[in-house]
Amino acid sequence: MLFPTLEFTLFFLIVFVANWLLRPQDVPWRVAMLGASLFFYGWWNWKFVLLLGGSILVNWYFGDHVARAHTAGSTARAGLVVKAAVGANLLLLGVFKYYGFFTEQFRSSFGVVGELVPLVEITLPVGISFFTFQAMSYVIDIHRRHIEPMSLLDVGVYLSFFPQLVAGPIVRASEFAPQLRTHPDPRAVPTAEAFRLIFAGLFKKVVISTYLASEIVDEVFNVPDTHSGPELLFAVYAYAIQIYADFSGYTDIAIGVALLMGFRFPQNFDAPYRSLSIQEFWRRWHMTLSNWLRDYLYIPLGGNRRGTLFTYRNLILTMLLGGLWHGAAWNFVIWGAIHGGVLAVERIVSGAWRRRVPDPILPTAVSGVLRWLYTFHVVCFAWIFFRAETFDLATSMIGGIADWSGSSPLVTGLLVFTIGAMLASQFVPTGFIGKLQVEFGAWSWVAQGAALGVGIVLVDVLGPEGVAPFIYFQF
Amino acid sequence: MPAGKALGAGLVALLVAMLLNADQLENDARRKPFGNGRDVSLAIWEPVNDFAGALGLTAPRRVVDEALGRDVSEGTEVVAASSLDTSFTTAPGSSPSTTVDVDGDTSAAISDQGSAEVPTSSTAPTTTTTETPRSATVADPLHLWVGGDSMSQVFGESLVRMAAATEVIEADLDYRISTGLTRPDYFNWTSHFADVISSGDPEVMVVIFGANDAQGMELTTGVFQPFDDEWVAEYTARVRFTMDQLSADSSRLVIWVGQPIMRSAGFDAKMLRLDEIYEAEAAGRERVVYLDTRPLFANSAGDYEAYLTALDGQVRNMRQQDGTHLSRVGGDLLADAVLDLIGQYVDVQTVRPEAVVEAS
Repeated sequence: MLFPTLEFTLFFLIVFVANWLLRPQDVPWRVAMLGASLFFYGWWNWKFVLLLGGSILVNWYFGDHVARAHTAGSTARAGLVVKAAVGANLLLLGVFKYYGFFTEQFRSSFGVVGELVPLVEITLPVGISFFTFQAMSYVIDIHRRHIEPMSLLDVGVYLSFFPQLVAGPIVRASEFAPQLRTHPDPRAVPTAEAFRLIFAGLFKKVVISTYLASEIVDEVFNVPDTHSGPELLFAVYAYAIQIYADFSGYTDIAIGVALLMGFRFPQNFDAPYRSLSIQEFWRRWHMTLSNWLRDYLYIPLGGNRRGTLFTYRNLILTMLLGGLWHGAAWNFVIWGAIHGGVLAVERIVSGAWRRRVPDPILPTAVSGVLRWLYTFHVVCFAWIFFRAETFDLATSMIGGIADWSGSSPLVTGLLVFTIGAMLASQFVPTGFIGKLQVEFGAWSWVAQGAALGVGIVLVDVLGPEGVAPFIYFQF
Repeated sequence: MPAGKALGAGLVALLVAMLLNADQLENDARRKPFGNGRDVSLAIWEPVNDFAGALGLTAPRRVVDEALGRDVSEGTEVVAASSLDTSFTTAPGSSPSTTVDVDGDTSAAISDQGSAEVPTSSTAPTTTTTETPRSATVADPLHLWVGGDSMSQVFGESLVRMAAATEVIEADLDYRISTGLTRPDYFNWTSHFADVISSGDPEVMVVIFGANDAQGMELTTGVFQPFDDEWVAEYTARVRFTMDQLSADSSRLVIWVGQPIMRSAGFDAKMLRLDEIYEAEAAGRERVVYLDTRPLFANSAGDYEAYLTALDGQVRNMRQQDGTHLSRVGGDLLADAVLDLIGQYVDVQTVRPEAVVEAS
């Protein structure tokens, strides 16, 4: 069930009413929310519900046992249970997401021996990477004593909660559990913020992302050899905007929907294309994933505590695994390696630069522009590998960008304007948006509703027919 | 804001969106597959649209659509499908470039939206091909067009890329998702082909249809469900019409790509029946070649198999998650087969023969 559809609208109307009517009663509310979320998930494939149900049950069991081990004073046993939980979750992810990839690699590398490993066509359940990561953080956070174990019903509501189930943001149990225990005020639903987020998300997804995909990105990335250098270059820029509009659009809607239900999810994007370094980019892009990787991978690996070389190793390893999290393909590994490598180089260079040149040699504005250009183009370069279906197609893209002969009919004025406007939007002060939101919030409920209705029609008019699935559903 | 008022605001938003967008909502309902779902949708959106139209609420959207250059014509109804047995058996006309208005008496079902002039089989000459194969060179490349439903997307991209690598074939891809030959009211391939032929005059046309075609068809005599006798007769007539239209120019080669074997047994049975229609209709035409893709994507037992040997000699997954569409390597495999087939009819003097292999 996609957000920008009539089906979801009707589903949400019913859930919204049930949510606020049942909220004062803990158990009926939880049962209703769990049922609604499983229905939402089963809309794709009812078999996936069994998988999600299994994940809920197993992780609740692990979490409970970790807590029992702590109570019994056996930290070692708790640690073992955590390892088993992480192993079980990674196994689930490995089977459904990586089996085909690794089997293909194994068979092509080991000839006759490789053929002993059977090739099985496995359907990737939607959102498995998201709920698996949430499940792991739940058990680990109990072990770290950041949270108390939750009841089976609460774990069910937490892992399956439909607004963030299929494409995030990755909400940790420590952020979700306290909101489960409190009863939000039904007289203070933040509609202005929620409507703004939902409208912005719909606009970014349906209008911007789909326009860029159909206008240039899909055609150029899939057949780069037949396009000119400017078309290749603008296809890369367009993809940078497309994936941002698509993914941040989804999370905007998810956060808006959750707000209407009385839940506040963590921010997932903070104008990432205004970053002046790759380090800053990762503080602004898919923030819930980068924070997850920092807390559950980079720091356990040793972080920056074991010397410079270890820090670089940990950075690169974290980003490589972050790349692999996105999909079972070498291109995602290369994408992660580029980010990890550049993060390490930035640390080396900026440290050495600061030691040698303590005072800035360029005016702040000039150095800011140069740093922005560098950051944006490194990110775009990495996106080529992320988007291209094969390594050969990625190298064709890169190789062809320098060839500016021939015409470029795909690079239209509207395309350049759209890319430029979206980049410019990254620099709009948040205070300005907040002020608009406050103004909107002062309107009557009828006026707010009417404005949202006009906004929905605007999105429908400007968007193409049909709604493509969100890019991050495949991860 | 209190939850009750928030609900009210949401309902107001939906009401406003529904009324301003009623025209589009009715159109969307009309495009659904024939059946109860479509009937229910139409029962809801037709009166809503009538009401909104009477109040002038649908006008703003029409103005914007017109400003954006979109088609805002009323008619999407199928107007003709009556004389199926006689539509395509009339004597050849005088010139392949002759065009006639499509109407209910002389063509397969065409929507009135597509009432542009299109060549029909009644004007197509009988082809006799005894001429020397055309030699494609860098200076005089072969013009190829590939298109159809969503099945042509990945394979078409592969074909365009591999064709470009030969340096003697210029290929255009033109796919339309969710389209086919059963619902010209949704997308009218007949009128679109007329545009493609008149504007580009491709020398080779590669088409694939069928994945969306196993659905009901509305004819003047009623709505018929897939593989009813009337349905088969009408669908066969449309395939025949399309083949005649595409091959009307005797110098053009038409490659009709059959649907590959599918993972879902039920869906595969439908595709098999459609493939049989395509193959039978192509058999009588010299310039229409049917490419049976089923063996290409089946294992040695003839059953569906996702993992097969790719062009690079490795066993790879040929299909997407849905078990229907082709993956990139699957697309490459099919494109390679199509290029081989073209090579049997056209002298493709590849400048760099190894380029095709490299591209794949």
